[in-house]
Amino acid sequence: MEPAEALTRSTGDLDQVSDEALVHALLAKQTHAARVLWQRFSPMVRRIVRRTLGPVSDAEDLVQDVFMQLFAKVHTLRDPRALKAFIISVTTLTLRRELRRRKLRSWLGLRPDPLAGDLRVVHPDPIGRAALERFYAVLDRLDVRDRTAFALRYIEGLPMNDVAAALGVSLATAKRCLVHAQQRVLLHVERDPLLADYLALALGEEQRD
Amino acid sequence: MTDRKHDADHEPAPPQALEPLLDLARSQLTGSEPRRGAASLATVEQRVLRRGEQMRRQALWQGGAIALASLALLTWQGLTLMASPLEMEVVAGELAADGQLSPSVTTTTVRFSDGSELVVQPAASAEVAELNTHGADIRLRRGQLRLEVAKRPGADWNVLAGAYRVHVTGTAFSVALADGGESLDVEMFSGTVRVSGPLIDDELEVTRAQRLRIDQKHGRVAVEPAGEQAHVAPASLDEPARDAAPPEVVEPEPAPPVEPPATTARPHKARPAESWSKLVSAGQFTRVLDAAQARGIEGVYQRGSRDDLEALADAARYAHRPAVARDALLAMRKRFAGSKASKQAAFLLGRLVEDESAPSALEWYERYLTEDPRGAHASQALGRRMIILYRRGDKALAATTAREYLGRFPAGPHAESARKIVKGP
Repeated sequence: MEPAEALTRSTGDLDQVSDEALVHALLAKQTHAARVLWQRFSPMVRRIVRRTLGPVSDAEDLVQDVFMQLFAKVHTLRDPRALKAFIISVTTLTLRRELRRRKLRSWLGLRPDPLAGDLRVVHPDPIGRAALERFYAVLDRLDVRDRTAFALRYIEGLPMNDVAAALGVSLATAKRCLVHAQQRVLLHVERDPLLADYLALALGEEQRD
Repeated sequence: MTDRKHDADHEPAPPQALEPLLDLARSQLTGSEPRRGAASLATVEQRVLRRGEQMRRQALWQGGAIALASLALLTWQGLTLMASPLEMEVVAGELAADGQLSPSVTTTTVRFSDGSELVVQPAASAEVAELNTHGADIRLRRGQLRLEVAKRPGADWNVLAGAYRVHVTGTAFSVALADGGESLDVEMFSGTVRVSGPLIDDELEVTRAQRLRIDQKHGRVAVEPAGEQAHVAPASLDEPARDAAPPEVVEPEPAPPVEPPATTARPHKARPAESWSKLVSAGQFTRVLDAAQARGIEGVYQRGSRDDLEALADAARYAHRPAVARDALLAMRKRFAGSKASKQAAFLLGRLVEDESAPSALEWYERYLTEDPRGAHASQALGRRMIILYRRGDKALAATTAREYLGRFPAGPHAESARKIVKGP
């Protein structure tokens, strides 16, 4: 095990400290430990949040929520070497809670964030932007667990075992979620004129290349 | 079962057909920090500190709260004597800035903090004239309202309809006032009300499943089983209505009228077969448009009454006939300039053209806000103006408008957007 004190010596060492040492440093409340955790994992958390929720304006709030949860729960981590999987699991839990909250708001007839559509700036090309928004509108129609599995596996590219661990289900259940999600996404995408056109155009260009 | 086993054994093949969309998501939704408003560790740490502080405070408060709760329980009876006035909340429909409840198409529902509920029907005009600790005075100017008063000790509610006062202590009923205040109709659903007014000596009690009908013009008062059609028994000032139909009579079978029904006894004013505004209220938009067409739509624009123009514009808007709606609203502006309907037309014109021309919409909203700054649509007009300015990149003016919006409508429908605009990206 690397000495956790390495964290306090120099910021130049930050990249070399293992996850295990980082967890020990966090538990010992050492200076810089939180910063190292943030620097190392915030891009991954942000990416998973964005890829699961789509182009939303409140992704940064959720990134903060995830880290608040991490700092509060890090003492529950049994195997410090599994820090990354733990972070993905906390991120997934936060995302699923957020997705359930949105579904509830939608069922109650409450409008989503009124400026979400006005403030987001994602894709400079209007067609690409529209396709991305429609694609995530299709994902909005999925069950929360299926959607999370789909995003983690196919967009984020996590291995199946990691997806199952993040969802807290067996591998077989995770695969079933994925099959179900994929079938529904394909069905809805085919029925959506804009997405169908976008795919036909993109796949046509690929074939020409 | 076999399928489930198959699913469990094999990972589904990656969806090739979706690959361009997945690629798009991967390339656009990355982990890089946004240019503005990125989450920071400092913010997280502040939130963690705040949460710790909150938890400490919570623990202190919990201890104190238990002690206070015991004290509060003991003094609750005393405190009820000094209860604050009821509060009301419009849960559906709109409340005009001047406090008027005048829904044009859908009902307006007001809920009170004691659980009572008021529903004002379309085309009616009412207001909550006074709220106190035991109830409220509701003034009905025209049309129909339904009131359900929660039963509680000391409840004291009044509906002031024309020259009459309907006093309530805990019940559900509807009141309709028509013919310029000359005709009153009280239908009971539960409980009892007491009605007083010019044609009634002292007070008249109307109870569950009864209906009181008063024709002020012809001096008629009648109490009849609820659900019956118009059987208005004439009553003179010398012959109180309670004698004509005792309040105790609540049998479900129809009671024979003392006199021939009012439909034969009372001369009726000739009225048009179909009022356009009533048709709009009933959702018969196409019938209004057909009727206007039959009458000559240009003629309606040039010579139609204000009510007809208003109804035609509403019908056209709801039936997705924007050109007719626009012409009717413009005719309203031209012919009835300065009227409330004309001011409202400016707002509706803004809504109508917003998708096609944001600058025109902006101009209409500004005109509406100038002409009727405290009008029923002021919140919407100001909010939509702010959104248009923001969308077209006029951030400074959008922020100024957002601040104005928050100052005037801190809980308005655009308040959240306004806060974001003021805060900046």
